[in-house]
Amino acid sequence: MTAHRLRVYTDAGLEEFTRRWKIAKDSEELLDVEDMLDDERWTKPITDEPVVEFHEFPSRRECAQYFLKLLSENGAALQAAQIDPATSVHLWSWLISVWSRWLQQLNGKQVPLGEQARWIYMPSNWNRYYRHLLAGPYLIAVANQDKLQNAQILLYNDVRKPNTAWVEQICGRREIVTNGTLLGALSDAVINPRTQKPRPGTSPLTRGKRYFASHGIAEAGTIRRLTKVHNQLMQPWHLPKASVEQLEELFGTEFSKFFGS
Amino acid sequence: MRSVRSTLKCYEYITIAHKHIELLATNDGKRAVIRLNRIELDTYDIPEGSEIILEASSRGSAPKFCSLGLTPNYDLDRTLDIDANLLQTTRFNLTILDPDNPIRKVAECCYLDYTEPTRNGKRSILPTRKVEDLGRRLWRLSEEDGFIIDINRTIANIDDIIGSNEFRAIALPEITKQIALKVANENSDLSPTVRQKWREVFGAALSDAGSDPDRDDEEWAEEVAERFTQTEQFTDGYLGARGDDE
Repeated sequence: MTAHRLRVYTDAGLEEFTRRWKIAKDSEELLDVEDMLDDERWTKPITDEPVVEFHEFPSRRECAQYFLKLLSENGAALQAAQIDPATSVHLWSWLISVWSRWLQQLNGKQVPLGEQARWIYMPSNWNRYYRHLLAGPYLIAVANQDKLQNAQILLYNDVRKPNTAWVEQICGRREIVTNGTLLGALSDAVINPRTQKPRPGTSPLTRGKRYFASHGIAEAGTIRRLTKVHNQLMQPWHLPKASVEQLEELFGTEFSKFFGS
Repeated sequence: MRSVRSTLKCYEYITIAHKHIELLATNDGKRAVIRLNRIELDTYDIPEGSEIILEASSRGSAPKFCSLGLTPNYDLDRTLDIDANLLQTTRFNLTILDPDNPIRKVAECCYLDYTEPTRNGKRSILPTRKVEDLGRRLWRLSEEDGFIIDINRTIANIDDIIGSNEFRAIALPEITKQIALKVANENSDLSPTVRQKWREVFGAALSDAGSDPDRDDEEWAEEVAERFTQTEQFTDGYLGARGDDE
């Protein structure tokens, strides 16, 4: 497998990548950008040595760890080039190009490209930035690098199937993603420590509004409700400083399944 | 166990006006050191012994906190250290916590703007603040020693909304028009300093819109907003995300 110097797309490279992505999306063909990876017309090198090597990620967690290590070890080179991994569309578009072929295949079948935000990082869009297939897990890991296990509820799944209800409900709320105590409590409640995947029986916690409407009952105790109540609670309460016990008391009995009661 | 409903009643904390706080950033190109240069709490009813916390949060990173100590003997020399690259995209909040319940807020000032000494201490010309009297409206343009965008804190997920490309594309042209109307109306009670400041901000948009003495203020403000929306690229992020920017 070929290793690459860490690169970013130039403006022209990003334009070409976006053009090819749109063609592939419209035609439902495979996105092919491998010829661009080391092409000086489209890219600018950040490191002198080859440091980026494609390999498959068993889950979003390994993906997050890989990019956390890669971008941290090459932080000085990125800073010298004034590339900020938290905001650089040029960087993530190049990185996803390295993984593009693998990201479009799952169990021998072609995976549709999906929405643009999965492939072209949208750092200024608060409802979509976390959907990028590679930057999404990385940003979760950055915010929880002291204890990555806290974020397992957001990282257990396949990189190519990123939009679990947990990810969609939690990641849109930056204050939850960066609150290690709350996120850790949610992961403890939902994730089976042996399999590192959701425990059987936790899927009802991800039910949406439609389910409750069709059954004629009030929505209660779901992750969707929890994020809404969190938005209310964070107005009068300084939640980053709250312990699990304090969070449990604030959220009340409705959410006891998330706090181990 | 307290019910959620009872906790939701705790909305009675104080909103500290931006004019009573000044945040200073010293930036050497690699690291930015943030400190509270000035805070005036005399006009507020803050319980003694309340902890003052400065928060810096940027997308994807865990927020950083700095405790300035307890009122009234807080320490303005305590600083927050952040990556200089993140300075432009970092949000700063000031929170004051109840001495009797150290996770309950008694006062807050959101979206603080920092000043840099190299810019002669100038503050952002259009700060935002969170308020609670907007009903179901998302925002309102207010005046208080200049223009301020009031943001409705009671709307769920308001931080995401006002940080979005959609909000920028939809609200900022209208906000610009409202400001231009005030600047255009010589009979309004806008201070000459603020009026002049905004004339400088509008710059090219203002000259492009012309200076016909018989102009219609409404049409002129519309033109300024249109020009300014183009020069400041208010809609580019939104259209780009939709793929409509070709």
